[in-house]
Amino acid sequence: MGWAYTGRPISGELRVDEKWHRVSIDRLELSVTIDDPKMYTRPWVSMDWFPMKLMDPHADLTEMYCSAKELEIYNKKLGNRGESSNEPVGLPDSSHLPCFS
Amino acid sequence: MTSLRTLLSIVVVAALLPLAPALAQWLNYPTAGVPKNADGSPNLAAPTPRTSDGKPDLSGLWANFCQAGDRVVLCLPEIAVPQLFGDIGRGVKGGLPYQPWAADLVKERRANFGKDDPTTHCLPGGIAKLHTSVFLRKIIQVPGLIVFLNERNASYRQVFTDGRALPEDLSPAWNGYSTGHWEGDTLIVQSAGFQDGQWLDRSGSPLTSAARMTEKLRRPNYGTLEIELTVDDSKAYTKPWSVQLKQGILLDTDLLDYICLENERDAVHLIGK
Repeated sequence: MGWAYTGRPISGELRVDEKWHRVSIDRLELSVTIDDPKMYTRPWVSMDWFPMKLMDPHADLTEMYCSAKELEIYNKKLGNRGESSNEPVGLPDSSHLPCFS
Repeated sequence: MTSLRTLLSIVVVAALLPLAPALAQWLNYPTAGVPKNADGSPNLAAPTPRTSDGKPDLSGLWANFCQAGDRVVLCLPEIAVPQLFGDIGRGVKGGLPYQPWAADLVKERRANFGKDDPTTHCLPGGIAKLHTSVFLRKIIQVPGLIVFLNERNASYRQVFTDGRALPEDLSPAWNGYSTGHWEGDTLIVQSAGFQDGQWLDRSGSPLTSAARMTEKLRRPNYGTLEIELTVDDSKAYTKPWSVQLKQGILLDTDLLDYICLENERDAVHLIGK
């Protein structure tokens, strides 16, 4: 069993139907229907023409690892010992990183 | 000792993978466009596939080769671990040219069976381990961009082939920032902007933020991918060094979901000396 959105449950019987529409050069829309007879009495539309905007051509994905807690534990145990040597023993602090999902 | 430990950990991982249902899921989706021999078997020695602009097409699902007894086989998690994953310098004459502090560090890390390896703690592995890992990688080549999909932690890597230069000021990243261009049939990829503190292998060969990497990728025939990886990191090594990797194409299958942190129970049991 997994979660969809804010804690709504899904089962192994989940089928997701996505419809993508690129309605203009810089606009993409997404509609999503959730069909999971084990959890819901009927299929329901979770995203209805949800709009997305094309990003500036100079923008790109940036690295974001949702293991901030793991990295924190790792650093606490091993990392960034603050010695004068230039040994890159630990990894940079990531406690500021968001971890939304 | 290190390699045995690695092997054992991978055997455990393999035992946990729900392989049977996953394989069944893809059985009805054979890889398209595979050149065949007269008897219907895949012709892996067939000519290199090419994109519409005439360049070799590196696209495909790739696995490392492993020695299994007296045979060379494709490495899969349930079979064997690529030796370079344990020690990326094993084929380098005289070993890797570590700076003294790096040599000491690797000695300590080996003595501790690599228990502090970031990847052991489910952190990313960077470019070297993308290439040497037992987990599969899929290359997708489109105009201006080559993408590596990494089975491990369902992650990705981008190589920009649209002619851009490496930016001067880069945010540190596990994979750094990569640009590629073709020289004949060889793709030359240059990368910089690495996050400090990475391990290039389970022995703990370090990579610092001063590093630059060059990869030369060739697909000499349908079934083979050759990678020469050069590490130029004067902070950790006295001179640049290179390793050769060879991978084979995997057909009629696909990447599986592998999320290291999911139900992870190993790390707390790892012990050093």
